[in-house]
Amino acid sequence: MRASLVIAQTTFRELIREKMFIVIFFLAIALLMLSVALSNLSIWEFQRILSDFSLASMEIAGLGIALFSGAFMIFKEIEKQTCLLLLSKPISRREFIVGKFLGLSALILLTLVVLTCLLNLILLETEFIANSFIILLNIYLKILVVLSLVFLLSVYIRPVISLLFGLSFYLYGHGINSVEFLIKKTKDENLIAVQRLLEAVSPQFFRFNWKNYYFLKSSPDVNDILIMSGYFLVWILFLMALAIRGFNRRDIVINS
Amino acid sequence: MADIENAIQVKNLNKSFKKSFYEKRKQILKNVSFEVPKNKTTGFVGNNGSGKTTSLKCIFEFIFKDSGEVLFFNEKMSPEIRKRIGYLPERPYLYEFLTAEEFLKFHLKLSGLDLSSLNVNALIEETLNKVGLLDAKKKALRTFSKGMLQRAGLAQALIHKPEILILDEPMSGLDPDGRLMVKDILKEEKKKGITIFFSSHLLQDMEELCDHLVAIHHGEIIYNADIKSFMNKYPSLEEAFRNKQKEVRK
Repeated sequence: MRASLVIAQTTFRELIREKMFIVIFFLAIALLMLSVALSNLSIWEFQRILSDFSLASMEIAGLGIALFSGAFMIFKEIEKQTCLLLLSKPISRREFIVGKFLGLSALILLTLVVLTCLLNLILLETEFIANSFIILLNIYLKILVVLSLVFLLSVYIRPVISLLFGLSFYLYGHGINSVEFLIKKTKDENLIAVQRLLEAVSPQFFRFNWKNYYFLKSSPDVNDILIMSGYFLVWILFLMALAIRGFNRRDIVINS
Repeated sequence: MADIENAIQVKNLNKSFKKSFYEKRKQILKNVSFEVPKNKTTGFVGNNGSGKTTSLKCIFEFIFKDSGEVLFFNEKMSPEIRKRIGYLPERPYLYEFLTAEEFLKFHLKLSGLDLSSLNVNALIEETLNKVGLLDAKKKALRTFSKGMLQRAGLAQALIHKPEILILDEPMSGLDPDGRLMVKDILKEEKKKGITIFFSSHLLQDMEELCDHLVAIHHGEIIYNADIKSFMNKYPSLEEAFRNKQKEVRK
């Protein structure tokens, strides 16, 4: 575990200095500012529009970092053979991949925390601060599920494909009920069967979409928070276990 | 008991690859067997694509052998063994946003050494000084030239004071000064009794540095003994190697 933390620390340090992270981070801040401008157009729902747009910007920023950095991270390590230097040391492949995952997760968390604090500063509504951090946890865990899938795929396939797969997985997880509704309308038995199969093997993000809690006086129930966290953690552990298993078995050779 | 004289023993190593789903498996290493004697410098020579890097990757388990055995001091590879090895891959790409100092600290932390009893900063400075990069201590690796990166890579292989140094083409891409510096470092390590095993195309350097030679041709070992007997009646290693290849082709 110590080796994983050392790798995580260096991964974090390396990523935070990368141009791509800086671009995504400032893009998220720009979107946050755009939310302020848009909310000013509304007479009654100023805060509602502001929080909706801002929380969506946060999720997009976190997802962008997870998809772009996550999909290319393991691929680059293998193609540039930087991982050889590390794996020649007394560390296991599991520690290596977990370290990379933790480093990137820490960067996503930092981004989300900074953006949440900015949002609270703009709104200056102290009673919603606790809810904003519960929403942050919800968004963060959803992004980590996507990140672990992208890690798993990038052990086997090209990064662009794993990026697109990760994005589809995220969109599908949020739109399962809409897709189900539309497919039922077609009355095509085969399509319905495929949809059911996909639903069974996809995380159901739509069931835990908590952005609306921001302006509710009450917070989600503790049991709901535990169920949501447990549900996403099981997905993360499952996908990461598969990624580690895949990485343990693969020859580290350049594919291109 | 003679085996204990060897730092590394490779026995009947076989490895084949399949480039794509439709292609047949290609045998890259064919019953590769050789020894790296303890406290000596061993050169690993062969043409491009002869199987040098694949052998080194099999030794480190970066790729999995189809069959065969690799022993270090008569033991199989383990985290304890890895602590005793310093490794430099061919064309090392390093984490470019780290400074030279951060890069070495990172590798030192992963080397398995107990850092509480060490003066980490002094050790980093000593190693950077050894490879001529002390002035570039605070510079990001992305600003380094190819030669400087090679030297930074060598520094991470040396920093934990390993008993065995395994280097894949350590002098490739270096200018004459850089080559001279690497050769001097290797000579210094050799004097300390470190076992060195390195691959290279530069036969002149190999002739200067090595006691023992392992030659590989199309995935098969064609020579594995001391360098003097290999050169025997030939004026240079280059001629001896060329002649050996001709013999094998016949």
